[in-house]
Amino acid sequence: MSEIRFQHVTKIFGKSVEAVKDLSFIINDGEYISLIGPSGCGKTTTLRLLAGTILPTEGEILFDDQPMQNVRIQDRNIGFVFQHFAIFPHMTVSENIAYGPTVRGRSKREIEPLVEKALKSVQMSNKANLYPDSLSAPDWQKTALARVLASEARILLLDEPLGALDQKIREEFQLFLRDLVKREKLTAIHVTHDQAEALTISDRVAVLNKGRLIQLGTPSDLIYNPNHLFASFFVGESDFLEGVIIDDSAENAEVRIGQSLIKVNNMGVEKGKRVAVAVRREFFQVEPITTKGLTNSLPGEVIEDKFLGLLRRIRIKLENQQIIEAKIHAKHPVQFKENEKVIINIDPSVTRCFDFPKEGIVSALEM
Amino acid sequence: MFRFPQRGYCFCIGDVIIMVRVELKEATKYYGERRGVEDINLSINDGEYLAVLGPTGSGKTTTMYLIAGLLSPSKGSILFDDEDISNVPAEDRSVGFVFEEYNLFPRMTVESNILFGPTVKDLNLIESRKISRELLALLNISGKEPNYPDEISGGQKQRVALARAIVSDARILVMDDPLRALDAKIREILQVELRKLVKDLGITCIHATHDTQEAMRVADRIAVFKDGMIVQIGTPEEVYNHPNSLYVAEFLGEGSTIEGKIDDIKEEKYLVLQDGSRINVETDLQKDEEAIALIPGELIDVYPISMKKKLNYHNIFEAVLLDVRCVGEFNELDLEIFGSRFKAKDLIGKEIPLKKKSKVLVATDKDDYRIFPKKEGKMINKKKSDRIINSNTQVGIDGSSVKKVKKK
Repeated sequence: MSEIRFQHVTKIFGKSVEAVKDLSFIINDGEYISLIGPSGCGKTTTLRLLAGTILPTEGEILFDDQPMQNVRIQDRNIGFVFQHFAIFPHMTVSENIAYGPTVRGRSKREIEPLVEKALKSVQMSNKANLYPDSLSAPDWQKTALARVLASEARILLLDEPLGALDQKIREEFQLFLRDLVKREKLTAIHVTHDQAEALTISDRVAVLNKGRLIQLGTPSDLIYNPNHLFASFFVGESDFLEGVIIDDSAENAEVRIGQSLIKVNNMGVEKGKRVAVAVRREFFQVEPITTKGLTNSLPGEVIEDKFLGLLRRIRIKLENQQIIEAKIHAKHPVQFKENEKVIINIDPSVTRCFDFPKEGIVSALEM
Repeated sequence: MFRFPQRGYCFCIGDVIIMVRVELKEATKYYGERRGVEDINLSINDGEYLAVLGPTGSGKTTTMYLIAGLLSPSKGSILFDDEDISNVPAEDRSVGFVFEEYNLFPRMTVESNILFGPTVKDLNLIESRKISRELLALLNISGKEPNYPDEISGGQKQRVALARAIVSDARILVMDDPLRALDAKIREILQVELRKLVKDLGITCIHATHDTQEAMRVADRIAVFKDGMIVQIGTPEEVYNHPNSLYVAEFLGEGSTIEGKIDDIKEEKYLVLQDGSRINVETDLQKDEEAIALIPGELIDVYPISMKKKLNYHNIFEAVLLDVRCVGEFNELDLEIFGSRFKAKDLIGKEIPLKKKSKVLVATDKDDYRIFPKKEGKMINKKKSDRIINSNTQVGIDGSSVKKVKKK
């Protein structure tokens, strides 16, 4: 069992730098959680608080209902993997893996099966006697993982573990990592700046910004039901249509955007309020101007239709001069031309409606 | 070499735009015994945005350095507008260079950093300051002129580096993995901005990256590198849809591979797998030849088992759905077919009434598979390879057959 509970945890560095503020959440036993957010959002601080290398200024962290305030790092039953492969260059793979149990005073007879099992688990049995300099980067990271397994930690902390790997290898390693954590029944907390990685790998994802927890939810929660402007900006790609609420009485509220009226998800924003309607770029339905029967749409003009492999990205200028990007399937039958007039249809149920930030979208999100 | 006077930008109406066609002819660079690049033939048109794509160590940086003049070729030549500039020093090439590291002067403000080039080159500073302001506005960082580099974010620093590279007479912009050090989110935003800037200014741009999506997002054409050589060059659509080798296919698209032997019955070709399963495919490989097939995840369609009679595909197989993950703009489905693991991708927005660990139907058409002979890994699909040859001649060394688009 290793359930982790944060209770109103605040960490202040120096006199006034609030690295994390009032964090409260629970990580269940065996769960894979990712922490995402821009640089300086507090994700690494959260990880360090968990590890015990720093202590909270206020609040408490509990492992299985047991307060961790006075528990030393080595007694917290946790393992680390960092971006930079902290493995000993003068030791072979298996010596590296045996290091943890050795310093803990385990006997050689106890250590051997542990190392063997860990090597097998990360598919490195055939490389046990090699030195790190003859291995590739993914193998270093596997060695680091095996070392955690051999130390019999139940909680795995990962700080940008795939940060130094090339894109292609990263994608393969993500699945490997998830499989490993699930197979070994570890509780994993993974810090990354890459939202696609977080969504691929985790059961739930925590979005942090400026030291605060914005949203903690499953990948599909974050995609379909972001509860904050920042969450819908940071996870996936969205455009924010600026408008004013005209009618808030029905299930779908009516918003004026430029000259057009469209229906959006009524999220309790009041009539007359300026709003930012968030729409995921893949949810815009782009059709030629002649298309009939589209009931909830905005007119626009195509700037560019660019092929991206799986998708095409259509840049469109709306009537109010705002530029949006729609992502459509690469197999969409229509190839759009520059300056072509189009209709952008929006399904009200996929929109999210937030108060318009006073300082404007660009500065509110610090793009 | 003729030096251009400080040029106007295309957003300054009435000024002449000077763009440059860049050519590499059999450019080769050896570092001692080690090959940097070999026999690079490449022609980049005026105002074109070319991405140089490849893994670490494939010769991307060497190519960038050769164009910028930071290295000189061991063999072959580099031409700007038909003029051989292989021996012209970097500072006289009018190339703006952006590195992965921002390399800003820490003790200078944003504006002094940008105006450093014009100052040492003795250009008209009033004019340069005006251009600098316009560039900063284009890059969404107006008002940061008096700030110092450590007061602005990574993305903003790279924007400053970009403005600095362009402000002093650059006719060609060379960028070596400029976004690598940035967070994924800011990288996405800057990719769009970069393309917009390059197109607005009409400059010729060469951008090296190891990230396929980045190359697709920014570039008009992509040159795929392997071991110091170009293996394929074409528009994103050409290289993605019609890869000329297994290497390109695997590098560009995430897909699953299967091995088998070709068999034919009447006009139809089949890939016969070890377990005897037969997949209807399109290929010019002959009967009994050993082949590798790659199928990109997005071409695999997945349906509930009850739909079997309603589907119209060349290939329909039963599979086990191992896992469904929502990974942003699409769902990723792990499938087990023929005893091996396949990855399918499905755009989100669609409801998937599928349960994990359940049996599903996997439907594909015969032209969804990219078939390569097992030995060479070369594409053998006649229709498609014809198209590739056309696209190559279109962009061939002389560049003459290429349609030139100059902005007014």
